[in-house]
Amino acid sequence: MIKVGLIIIFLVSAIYAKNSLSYVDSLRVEAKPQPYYDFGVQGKEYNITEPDMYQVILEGVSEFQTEENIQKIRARIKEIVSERAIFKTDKSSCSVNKISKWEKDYFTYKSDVVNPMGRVISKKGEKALTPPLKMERFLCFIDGKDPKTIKDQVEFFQNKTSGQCIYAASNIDVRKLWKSFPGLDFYPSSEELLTRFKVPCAPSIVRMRGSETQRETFSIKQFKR
Amino acid sequence: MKLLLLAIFLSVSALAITENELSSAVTINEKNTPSSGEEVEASINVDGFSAPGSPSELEINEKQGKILKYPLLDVIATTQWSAIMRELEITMDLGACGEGLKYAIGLDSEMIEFVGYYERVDKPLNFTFAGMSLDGNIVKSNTARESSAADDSPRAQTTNSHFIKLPILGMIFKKKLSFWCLQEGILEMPYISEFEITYKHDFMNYKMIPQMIAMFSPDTLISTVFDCAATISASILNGNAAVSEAAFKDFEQFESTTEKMVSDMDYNGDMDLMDRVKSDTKSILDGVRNTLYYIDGCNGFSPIGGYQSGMDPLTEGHNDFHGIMNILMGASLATNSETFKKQSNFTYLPTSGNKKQPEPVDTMCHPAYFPMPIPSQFVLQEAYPVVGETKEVGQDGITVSTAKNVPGAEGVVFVVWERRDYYAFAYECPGSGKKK
Repeated sequence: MIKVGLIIIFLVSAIYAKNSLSYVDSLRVEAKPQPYYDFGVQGKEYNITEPDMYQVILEGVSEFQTEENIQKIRARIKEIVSERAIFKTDKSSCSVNKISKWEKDYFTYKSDVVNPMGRVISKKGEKALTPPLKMERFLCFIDGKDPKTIKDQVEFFQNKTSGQCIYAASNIDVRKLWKSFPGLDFYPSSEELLTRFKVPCAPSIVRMRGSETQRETFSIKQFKR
Repeated sequence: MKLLLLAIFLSVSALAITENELSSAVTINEKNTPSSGEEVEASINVDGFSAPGSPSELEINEKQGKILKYPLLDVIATTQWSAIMRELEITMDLGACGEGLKYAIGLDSEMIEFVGYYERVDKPLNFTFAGMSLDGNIVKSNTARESSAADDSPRAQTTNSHFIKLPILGMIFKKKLSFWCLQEGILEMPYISEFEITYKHDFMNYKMIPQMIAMFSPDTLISTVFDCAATISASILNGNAAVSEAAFKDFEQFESTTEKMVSDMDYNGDMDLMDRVKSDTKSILDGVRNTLYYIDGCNGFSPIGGYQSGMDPLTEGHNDFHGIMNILMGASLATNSETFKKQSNFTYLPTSGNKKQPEPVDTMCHPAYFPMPIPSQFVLQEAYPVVGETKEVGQDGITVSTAKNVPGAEGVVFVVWERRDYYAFAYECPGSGKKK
């Protein structure tokens, strides 16, 4: 009896469903986009009063391009370059000579990394070893708080690394260093560099070989003024 | 197998347009370079700045009957402003942003915006885009090889790269075109390679962006075929290939921008279907390009550091931008830069049965930090030494630079355009009072 009832309910539902589908189909036919027909014009016509956006843009840019604005931009470029050429920090210079052990150099992924097939091969926040270097490299941090010690710091690091140092300078304009030490590579240091290589102070040196790093700090007092 | 067939199909399509591109490139060079008789801009003397440009360079230009203009000195002529209207799309699809009192409904839209200049120059601290040099001549040479040839890479030389963020439209119009939510602010220079320790030292990149290094392997090299094909196809769809002139004419046929916008919003059968097919195809191509983020379209792997062969400045500049974009998105541990954020919609290349497949964060309502390159979000347009048309990031050298490199030019300058997919009128843009 129950089975018969279920069959009846199923049949009634099927009929309703079929009718509904037909209804949807008919709607679809009615809603199908049709070509435009020209029904002519009725009533008053109004012209567009708003200016053309493209023309507005071009006029705006033309007005922007004045000699005064160009000079302002050039002055701003000069200002930015002067700011970027020096890394100022309040951190004290190193006061003791100290050398760390060689440590594995890990980094943390800043985002998910996906491979060519869209699969995540590394998750954000995961730690991994940096790719190994083929030869030993040196990153030398110098401090320009007392500019008179700079020459001695550079000579010291040149001897220490057989001239292989790449310099990251604090508290001194690197453009001055470019002029004073032609042929050597100077860059402004940064918080990111200090954090990445766990450098506590300058003058110091970071040695890198394979996937390992070692840090050594030098007391500022040992450098001649 | 399907992917292989797709790649072959797309490659054939790409090759088919190459010949057109070649002839188009030559035509564009003749058409866009200012003719003789115009004002020479190469001898500017401002207090504190020396004028770039050597006599030999001017001589060459005079011989060719061409005069080079620094982009900032003629923004109108050196920028393809029509790109704005060409890429502007407003659909009738609705979307909502915000919660509570900030809830707003907007229209699914796409736009493109002038965000600044990218330049690759020979002399250090020479800012060709603005026609100024800050004593670069006395600074160390930047073209020397780093260490020995056997050590880092076989690449030959590096120059200097700058990215200058200059949101001109936002500076001019501010709140006037609020539905566009133009980027605002003043001039910034988030990337000056002379001060970037990673630019010339590959081993520093090993330490600073190891996630990119990890992707470089012979296995992933095959992906360049897909990425190149997808880039070329995307350039055709977006009107940045040889057909771009036709696309420009398509825009010209409308009497005004308003008419074009109304036309875009029409819901009339076949046109609408074509638009949707185009949109779906573009979405797949963007997925391929952004999944293969470590590849610069037809130019091979994304450059890590600034070394290039030095043979084709325009193509190399194009290629170099891919690496800089990576850093400006915040991928490097060497910088906190978030100059660029994700503001375009895409999904990663789909794979069957992969439950772990990630979905990039949705940015229809506000931009988001996303430290991975998004090639489909940017478009480059040559502004110096010749004015060219907009090109997709990763377009091949033939389409980018054939017959356009000018001997003696002070590097190359590109206008950087940035795309955005968003809900117009509901987007939470900075300065609109709808801050996230």
